[in-house]
Amino acid sequence: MMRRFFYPRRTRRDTQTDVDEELRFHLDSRQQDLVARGETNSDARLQALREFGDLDDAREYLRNIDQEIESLRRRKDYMSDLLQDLRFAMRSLGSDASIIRQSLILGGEAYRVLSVMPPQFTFPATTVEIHLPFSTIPDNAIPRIRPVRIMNVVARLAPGVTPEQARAEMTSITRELATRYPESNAVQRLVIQRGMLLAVTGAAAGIGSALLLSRYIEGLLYGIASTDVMTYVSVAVALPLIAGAASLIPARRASRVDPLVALQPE
Amino acid sequence: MAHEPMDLLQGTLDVLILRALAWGTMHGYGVSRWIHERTDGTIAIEDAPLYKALHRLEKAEFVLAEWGLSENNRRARYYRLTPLGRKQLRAQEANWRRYAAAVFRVLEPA
Repeated sequence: MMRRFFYPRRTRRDTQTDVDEELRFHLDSRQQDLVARGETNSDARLQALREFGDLDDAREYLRNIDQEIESLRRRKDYMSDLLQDLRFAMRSLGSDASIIRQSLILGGEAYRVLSVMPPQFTFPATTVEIHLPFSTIPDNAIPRIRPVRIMNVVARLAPGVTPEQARAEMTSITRELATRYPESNAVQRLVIQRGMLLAVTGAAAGIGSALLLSRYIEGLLYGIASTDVMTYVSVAVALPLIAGAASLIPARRASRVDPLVALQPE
Repeated sequence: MAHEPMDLLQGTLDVLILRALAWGTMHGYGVSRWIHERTDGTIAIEDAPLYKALHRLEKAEFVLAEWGLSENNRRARYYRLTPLGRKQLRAQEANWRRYAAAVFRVLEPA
């Protein structure tokens, strides 16, 4: 967590100030050098500006790129902090019931441990080992990588409520949400989009490495150039289509998942 | 972000900047002067594209930027090469030598 203090977050305004200060330093230094060579102050400034080129354009470009660098760094910091915390928590606290009601720092946020699930408990997502209370996830702790997120929630039935009652209520809530937010309720479309994104990224990476590597196998290819455009294009087009079709199956399954199935211990 | 076309000048600029920083940590003005002196002013390089390239190289993690104090005690942004940048410099330098050798072979009388 200490790293957060050493790398203070820079705001949009700071980025602009930094860029301005860097450019001002350049122009002032150049001006001083020219004055030392006998130019007048104003002539030196003019020459420094002329040598620089389009100052406003550079200012804009540098500010944008600095903001990108900053958000990349922020995302990377957050992920590595979180991973480190999780690894620590799993190693030192895993399966120890005495941690209940103690607090735990994850990604810079403090959480209180409410309960430890029995080992045979099956979560809806099998790769997740720590669950956070729904209401206490701070919004800024979720990196905004995609505009929409899929969220799995595990809940405990209130005393006296049967699974059937809960199921009926969930169904009516789902229906109401679907009519109120038709835009964000497209689970099926979402899963397909995510599948497609994977495929497109994969295709881009694949074509990149293929272009780099294919010249080494040039001698082994017969009747086709190592950079045959048609081959690249057809693979690039076919792959996302196949991925889209393949995503349909999990997509349909995801949109049909019964929320209560996940709520019952084995 | 809009990608700038990798024209000859931009590629040249990148390798010149990396080369300058291989020599030591410098601020932007230092890099600008270093290149001007080494090229004897033969290549006209404006400072705006130079700074753009520096920040682009920072984003690619070829260089690391840090604020420090300049020789006249002012806050200046210093750049230094990362191990990744050193690797990139070696690759680009090799490309450039091959490229220049090919051009020379064409220009030289048979």
